[in-house]
Amino acid sequence: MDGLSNQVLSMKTFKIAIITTLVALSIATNYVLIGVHNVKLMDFMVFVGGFCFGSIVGASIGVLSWLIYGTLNPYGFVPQVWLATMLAESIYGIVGGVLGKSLASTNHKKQQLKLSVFFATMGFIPTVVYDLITNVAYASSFNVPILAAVFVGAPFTVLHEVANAVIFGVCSIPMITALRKLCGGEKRVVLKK
Amino acid sequence: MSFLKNRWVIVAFVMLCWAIASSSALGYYYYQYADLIDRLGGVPIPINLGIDYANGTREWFNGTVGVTLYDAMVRAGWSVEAQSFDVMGLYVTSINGLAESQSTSNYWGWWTWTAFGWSHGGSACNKYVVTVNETIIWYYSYCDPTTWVMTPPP
Repeated sequence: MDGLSNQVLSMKTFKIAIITTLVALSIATNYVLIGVHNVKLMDFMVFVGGFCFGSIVGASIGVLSWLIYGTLNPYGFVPQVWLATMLAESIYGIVGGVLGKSLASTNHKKQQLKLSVFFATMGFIPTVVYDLITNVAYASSFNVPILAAVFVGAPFTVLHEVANAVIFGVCSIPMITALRKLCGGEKRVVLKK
Repeated sequence: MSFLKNRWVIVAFVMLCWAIASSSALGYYYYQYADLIDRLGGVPIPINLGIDYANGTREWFNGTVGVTLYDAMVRAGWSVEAQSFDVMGLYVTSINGLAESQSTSNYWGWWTWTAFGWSHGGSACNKYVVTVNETIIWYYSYCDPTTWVMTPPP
């Protein structure tokens, strides 16, 4: 095996290690925050994974996280809701991937506040879609009118959206910068200093 | 992402988030309100209902029951004439034979008793859901033709 092949292999191994770590972090933080409803770090981990390693990797982190957390969920297991959350969670990874590609050349030192606010809104908007999908899945599974499910659940969804906006806004730049340092210049780990 | 250079794009994103959150809250409260009205349907609530003809005659119908104010008026045996404005509700033009008058600028309006005195009712009588033992009076108020301010009951 030549040097280049070794480098590619070690990069793949490293990437797999990072993905596994992010999945483990998602699940662990979800269990830690089990008593705090709708305030979770999972969505953020999935987003960051997508931002740094692309949409497919990000979506995979989301699906894998829910695959495990959804099966061993202390609040119970409903297949339809589980499938919906698993697919909806991948939205964060896809959005992260798209943004990661687009923001590759952004100088974050010069516009840290703007970027933080932008990340906050990018935490908020996909959460609206996520909550809508999961509410519709819940309504279909339990024979609840969809509008009733959406509106009655509004306080929880708004809390989820606001919490994600805060987490994404505050933590995105430090987390992405740290991953960039850790990966030592991996192409997709961006945000120039 | 060159649009990030424009601060108004960020402001627009923030406003979008705010609009979604406030619309969700609106939907939630509207649903709760509509649900409450449904649950209360057919459960009449006792109120103190009065009428003042602005000629020294004031009558009280204490203990009148109703779900909405209009419902209570009908149950009290009043003769009410009104014009419907669809979702806005009913506009009362005449009570017990005394009709509104453009020439004297007298119109019917309903007032509810609060810690600050009589407070003008803010909605159509058939849209207003009464609360237990609320005191409401219909007053044949003089309405200033220039400002449209109604005179409160004495």
